[in-house]
Amino acid sequence: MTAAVDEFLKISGITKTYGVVKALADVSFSIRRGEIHTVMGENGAGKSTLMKIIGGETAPDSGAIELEGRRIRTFVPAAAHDLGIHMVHQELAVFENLTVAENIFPYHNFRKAGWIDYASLHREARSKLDLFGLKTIRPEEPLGSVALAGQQMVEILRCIVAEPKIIILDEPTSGLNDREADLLLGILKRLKDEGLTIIYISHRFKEIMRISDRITVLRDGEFVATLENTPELSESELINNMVGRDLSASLYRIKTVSGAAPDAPTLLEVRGLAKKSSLNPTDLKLAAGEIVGVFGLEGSGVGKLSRMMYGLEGKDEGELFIKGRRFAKINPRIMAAERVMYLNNNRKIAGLLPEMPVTDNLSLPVLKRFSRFLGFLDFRRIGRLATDFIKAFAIALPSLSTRPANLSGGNQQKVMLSICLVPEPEIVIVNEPTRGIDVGAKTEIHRFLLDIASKGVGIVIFSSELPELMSLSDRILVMRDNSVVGEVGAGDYTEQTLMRYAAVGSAATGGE
Amino acid sequence: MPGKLARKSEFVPLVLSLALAAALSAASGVFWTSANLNSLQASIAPTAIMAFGMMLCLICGYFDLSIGSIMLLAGLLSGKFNDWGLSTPAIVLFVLLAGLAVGCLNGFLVAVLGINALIATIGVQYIGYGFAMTLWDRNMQHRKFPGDFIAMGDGQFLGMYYMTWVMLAILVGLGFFLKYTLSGRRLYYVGGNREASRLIGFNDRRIVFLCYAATGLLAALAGVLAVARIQSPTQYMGGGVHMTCMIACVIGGGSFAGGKGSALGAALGVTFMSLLTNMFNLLEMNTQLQNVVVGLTLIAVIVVDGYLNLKKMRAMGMI
Repeated sequence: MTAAVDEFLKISGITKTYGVVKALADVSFSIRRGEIHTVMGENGAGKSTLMKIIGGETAPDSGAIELEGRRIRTFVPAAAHDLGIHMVHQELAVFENLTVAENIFPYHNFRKAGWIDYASLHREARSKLDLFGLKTIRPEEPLGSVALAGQQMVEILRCIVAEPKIIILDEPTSGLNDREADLLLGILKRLKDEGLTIIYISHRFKEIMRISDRITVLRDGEFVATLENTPELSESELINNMVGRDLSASLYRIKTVSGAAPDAPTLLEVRGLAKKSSLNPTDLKLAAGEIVGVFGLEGSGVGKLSRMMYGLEGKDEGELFIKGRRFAKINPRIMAAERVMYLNNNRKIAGLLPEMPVTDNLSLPVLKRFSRFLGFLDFRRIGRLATDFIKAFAIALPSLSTRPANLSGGNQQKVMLSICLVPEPEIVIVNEPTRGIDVGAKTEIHRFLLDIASKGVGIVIFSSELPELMSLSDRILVMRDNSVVGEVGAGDYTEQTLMRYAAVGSAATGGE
Repeated sequence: MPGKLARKSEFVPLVLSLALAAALSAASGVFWTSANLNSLQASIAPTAIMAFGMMLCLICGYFDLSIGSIMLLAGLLSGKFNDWGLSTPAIVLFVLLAGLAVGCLNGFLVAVLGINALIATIGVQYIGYGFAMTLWDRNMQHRKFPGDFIAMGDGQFLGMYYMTWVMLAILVGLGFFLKYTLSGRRLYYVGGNREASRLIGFNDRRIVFLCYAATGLLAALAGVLAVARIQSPTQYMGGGVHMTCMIACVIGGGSFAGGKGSALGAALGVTFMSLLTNMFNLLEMNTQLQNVVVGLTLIAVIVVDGYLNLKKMRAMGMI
């Protein structure tokens, strides 16, 4: 009988690939009935993909999921709901146009003679909200006027009222403050005591150690270990499991000596850049020819910093110095004029004109240079420029008129990087330069970045891949909870040190 | 209590309509005459019936630009079927079926094939218009409809046209449907957050499809009633009515973002638009100014709504 309890949800041999990227490779482990089971790993370790598969939002390429010994064959959300599996997303799936009560009970189970009975609906919603101690939220108010934490609670309530067997929570505390997170964790403990099985994803070690029964660690899409959360379990053990790659055999050569000249002039300086509730005052200095890496787990503020540095997102405070000149106002136009370029982290959303020829993409930032009499463009010279870059970056292209939409991810990424470099920038801010591309393209992009740095360009690189950062950066800043919490110089890099900063905010080993 | 009323989305068109009606009764001696009220009814009822359909689409986050063409098609088909000697019930049935079919075509293009609603419904607008005009011949307007067909447009009950009663019946039915049935509420879930509605297991495509189908049916119904009222089909029927309906719906609380709106709001929005036309006619003002007023009202409603939203979000610290 223990097998049925131990293997309440059995995950065996799950594999899933997106293009060239293996999101999950032969992952197997089991969830016990009635436990809080945390799944952790670095960004890109495959946690979210695995949860999507369990929650019925995407089907695995191979492998099987069994609930109580019965294999799940249809992977659609409705089928998962029927089996009693519900998922709360990190990006909320709520309806701001409807009331709190209608968000908790979207199936409107309260009817009188077939008509929806709003009085009972509101009464029931009230009692569920009270159960969670959410006294300030009114069932009748539109969800859009409830604060983010409240919306999150409402989505969790929606799952709970469906009386599920398993709920999956994807980083439920990332948008909450300590008090709210505390409340949520208390509720989860209570739900567990009532027999609910909870799969929990989080980056916050303290929380994980506090509420988990067991912890499964994934790394690069592979299963590493399932650990019992005993008092002996230490943060170090978790961190070692999260990062423990054997880098000696990998394609990355960890930088041991800073490549930047010690007397190189400062190109860019960020002073006190801050925004309420998304970034604490942050400083950053970049010298000519230097590569500064910035690392952080999801929700640590890395994305905000990169966007705010380029003026893609508003700031409350702070200023920027480019080669000593002060800029209180930051926007992309000013940055581009000062020869600072930005590589977006999502090539699908921003960074490419996927339906226009590669030549048009490449010449876009410098069209002015090719503008002739009456604004006519000199297409011959544009073609020459494009050819040069395509050669320099070894972009595999059938012809100059190929549209990026038809290229592989690696080539798209190279085109995107080329676009940034066409205006001959002095400073480049790159965001996840090699996300989701194959190893060959990855090494080539790394080579280009090292190459332009050696020519004096300053590079700030935001990446969630530690090996990448360690092989490129002259020093690495680590962020946690919207602040820079540590800086490690080339020569002192180990994944453990960096991950420790990102996870717990200090480099010191030992218990809390 | 008055605060609660003011927060309802129907409040704006209600106040606007009442203000216009009050102004008109003061400024014009003929506003309350039965001739004027009849002409108001004949303008409000068919437009409101079409606006109901538009509102369904808007709630789901879509819109339908082909309703004017469907109305015209319904009108000219009525004439054609009459030429063929069909009885009144047969004419009505076949015309409604034709409207339903065009609505299903819209639904198929938008909900099943996933074509952008603007492109799809403009395409159908042209197809519908072109096809309808092939049915048109100048002599059509001189041939007589059967008496029971004319009665649909002419007949009155308790001082109101049958078509007004039909419109009110749909208003009440649709109002209850949207507020008190799960099927009706689903429209708001789909329009509010399509991805999330899918995640909680709603079949968003089917819901959107059915809304377009219903919109086609309602536009055809409006077409038949309008032809019965003027007693002969004309080739000008339905021109620009899609814009009138869309503006009326937005003034009435609908939104292009989806997830908002009500049947009552649509009816009040149409009432406002008709009263506005009525005002320009009765007071013999330059009718071109009417368009200026409509445009200004539309923009004012949206700007005020957006401003209030912005203030709310700022107060909550969301931006």
